[in-house]
Amino acid sequence: MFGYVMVNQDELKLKDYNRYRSFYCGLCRVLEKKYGISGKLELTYDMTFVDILLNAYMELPLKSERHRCMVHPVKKQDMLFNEITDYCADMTLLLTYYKMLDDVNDDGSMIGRVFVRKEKKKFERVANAYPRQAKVFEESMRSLAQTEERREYNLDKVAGFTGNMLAELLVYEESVWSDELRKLGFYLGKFIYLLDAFEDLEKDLKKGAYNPWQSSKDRKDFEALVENTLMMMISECAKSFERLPIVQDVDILRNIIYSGVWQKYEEVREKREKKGEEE
Amino acid sequence: MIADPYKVLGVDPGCTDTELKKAYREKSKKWHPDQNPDNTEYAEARFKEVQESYRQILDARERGTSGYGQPQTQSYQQSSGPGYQGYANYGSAGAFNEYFNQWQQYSEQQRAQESAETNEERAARNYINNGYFREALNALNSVPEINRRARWYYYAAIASRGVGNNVTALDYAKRAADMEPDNQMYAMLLNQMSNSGTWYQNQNRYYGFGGINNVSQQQWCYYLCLANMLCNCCMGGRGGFFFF
Repeated sequence: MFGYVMVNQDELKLKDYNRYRSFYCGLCRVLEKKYGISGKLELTYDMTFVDILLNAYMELPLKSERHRCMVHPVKKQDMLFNEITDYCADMTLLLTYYKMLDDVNDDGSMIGRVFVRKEKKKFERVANAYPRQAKVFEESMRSLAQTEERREYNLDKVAGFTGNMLAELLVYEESVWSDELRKLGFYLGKFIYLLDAFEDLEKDLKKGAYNPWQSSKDRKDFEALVENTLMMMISECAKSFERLPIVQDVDILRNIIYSGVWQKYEEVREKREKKGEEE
Repeated sequence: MIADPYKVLGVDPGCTDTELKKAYREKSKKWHPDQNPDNTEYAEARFKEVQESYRQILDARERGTSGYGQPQTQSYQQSSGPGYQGYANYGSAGAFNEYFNQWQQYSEQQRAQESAETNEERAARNYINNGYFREALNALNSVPEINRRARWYYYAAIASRGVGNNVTALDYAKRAADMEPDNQMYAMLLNQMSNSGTWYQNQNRYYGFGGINNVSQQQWCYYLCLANMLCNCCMGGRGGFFFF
């Protein structure tokens, strides 16, 4: 979806890095098999995180296989998967479809139109298989579009829709920990939305498009404000994670939650700083 | 309250969080009603007891206590990372009641203020006490802006936090504390709401990540740039889709 929830490779042990990659490649393969080659392009770090998190929570057996793939035609890659991987692939299709639909409505995006026409049948099948998630995604996307349309500057309001989507996504099946998983997803979703908007700020301003940070961008403490707000979101996410009874792959998950999620932010911030110096 | 939650889970009070979680998983599996078709009723009661015990210990550890009122042990401090003042719960009421119990100890100042509450404020307090944060906000929102006093902002902060609006909640908490700087309750709430970042950064350091700015762009970046290029020509720009 957005590609913000990634590992900080420098701080990851080699065995954990290899395991992370195996999850990544496993998901990639499932996407390819289920939804054709186009699946690969929709694949993101975010969904790999969901895959590892839900697997850690449920501790279902994982299948381990070695395959070549289009990107690595020579060396075989280790791959891990199970039913959660299938679920993540299905959710990737759903989210991408809604995103494309939104792009079509936004600016008549050609790619969007092609995608929507091509994947309609698959989309309907997946949406019927997961009515709970599909309903929340659809409603959230619609409300988000309306809220952006009226240029809402209350960060909670506008970021909450992505929050609701991720909250629902993290509940594979209802259990005693559904509330905590939803909470984790909710704040992670808000984090992602606000970071995505921060990254797009200049682009949006230039186009005259709406951006939730627009109303506060001229404040002297703007950067601190963004950082604090993002930290408020991710720390709620982290608190939920620490409450969950998870012991599998905690080093990878903590790496992402406490460090990796800031990679994109730092990148954007540095780029902005350099640009500021040039001007 | 479970009298001895550690005994239920079969762990030592000084156990690490990981040991606690492992024990919880084991016992949950053992007593899961699906695993005990022959005596579901008994299993269900045990299962519930396991859930309660785990949450009770978690709550206690977040508060920095042991679960039955003893000072925390050294090994726990080492094992679980820095403690934090958790009190909010998007979507559920449990931890909020903890917070309320805490502040009900300021009873005298508290009672005097409660008796002077407006109807809306009183309604909001009752809703919040029962975990109905949305209803609390509805009651509060019926008050016109000019009539909103510190008390109003105080409850609005707690209720906003309860529905997951943590930015708004912090704003409200600041307003309440600004309007009545001498009120300990308001100061405490603001302090707790401002502290989550500190807790997070402590966690970051505790796990050896060296701060949130200690992230470098690495090989990943190469793929990312490649992917962005691909995306820009085929996917319309937004999002970091990428190949390995």
